[in-house]
Amino acid sequence: MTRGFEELGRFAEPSLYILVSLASGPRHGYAIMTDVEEISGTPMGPGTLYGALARLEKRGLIEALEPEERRRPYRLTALGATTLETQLTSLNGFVATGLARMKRDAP
Amino acid sequence: MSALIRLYPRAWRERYEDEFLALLEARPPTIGDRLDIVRAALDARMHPQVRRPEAPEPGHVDDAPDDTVVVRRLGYAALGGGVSWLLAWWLATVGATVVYDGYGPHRDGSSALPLLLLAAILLVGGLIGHLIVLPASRRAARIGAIAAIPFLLLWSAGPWNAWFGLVALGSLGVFAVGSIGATHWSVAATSGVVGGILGIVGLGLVTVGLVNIGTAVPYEVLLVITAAATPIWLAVGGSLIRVHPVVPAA
Repeated sequence: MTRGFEELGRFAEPSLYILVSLASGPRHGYAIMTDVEEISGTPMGPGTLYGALARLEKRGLIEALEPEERRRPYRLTALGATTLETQLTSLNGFVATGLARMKRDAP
Repeated sequence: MSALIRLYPRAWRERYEDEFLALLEARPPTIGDRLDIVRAALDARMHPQVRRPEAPEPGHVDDAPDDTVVVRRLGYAALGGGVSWLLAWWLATVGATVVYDGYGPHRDGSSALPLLLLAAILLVGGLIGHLIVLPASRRAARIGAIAAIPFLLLWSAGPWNAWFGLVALGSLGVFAVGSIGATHWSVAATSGVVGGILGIVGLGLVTVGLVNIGTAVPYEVLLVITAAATPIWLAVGGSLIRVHPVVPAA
């Protein structure tokens, strides 16, 4: 985890899901929520969603676009894309290490 | 739903309220979602991510007139909780029906449980009001209030669980002492809460002491002692009613 993500506390995991959701293009809150539910298999509460969005926006990882009626889409910033890539690479290494150890230690 | 949104700081609402309401209209919230919103609103107050330029102090939202209305209503609710507390104990001690069973003749105090739970819920409402107005810098007071909320509810649902009560009362004490110096709080309010806590503890000690020496506890004595705890509701509610909106400097 990068320093920015460590600061997010309980919003770190929801934030990662949101960044992944926005990796395929801008989405508004409801679209993010349904997409995250598809990705993770777990619904994300509206309070958690906007708690994470506010943190990501404050840290410059996402930015708000002009509202479409009352819905405001968000998109990844360049910093957000870099951070997401770092996070996923880190997780990928973690998963690879874990799987390798399981194979090595298997009876 | 707008009542839940009002739990958020004003700066947050100015930035996100429209789109948040649009989201909730598209996906009506479940009970779990509502709890999630309450939790996130408290978080938004403790860890503000959106600041208004004129905000005097992080977490201090007295400058929001509509917050003041909510906070005052929570104050009146807490005062109502004090009435409920007194009625509950009147019902449990003097007003309850006398029953005759294996324990001998005694009053059936179970009918007072709903009123006791209501008193706790309304006190919790008052504590949420304090969480709204207390600056983030008042960490001890905020932690005390947050810790007291679940234990008050647990204790009121099962008053025989003394440990829940002790944790709730201890947390209330931390909240009251930690609030000293806050603009809406007073030393008298702290005295009221601490005195109320001593009243409840006194009730427990007197009851246990009399039972141990084989003496029946006079119901009127119980009622008087529990009445001594009412200042907790008066202090929590009364101090919220005194909250005034702060007009930002021109």
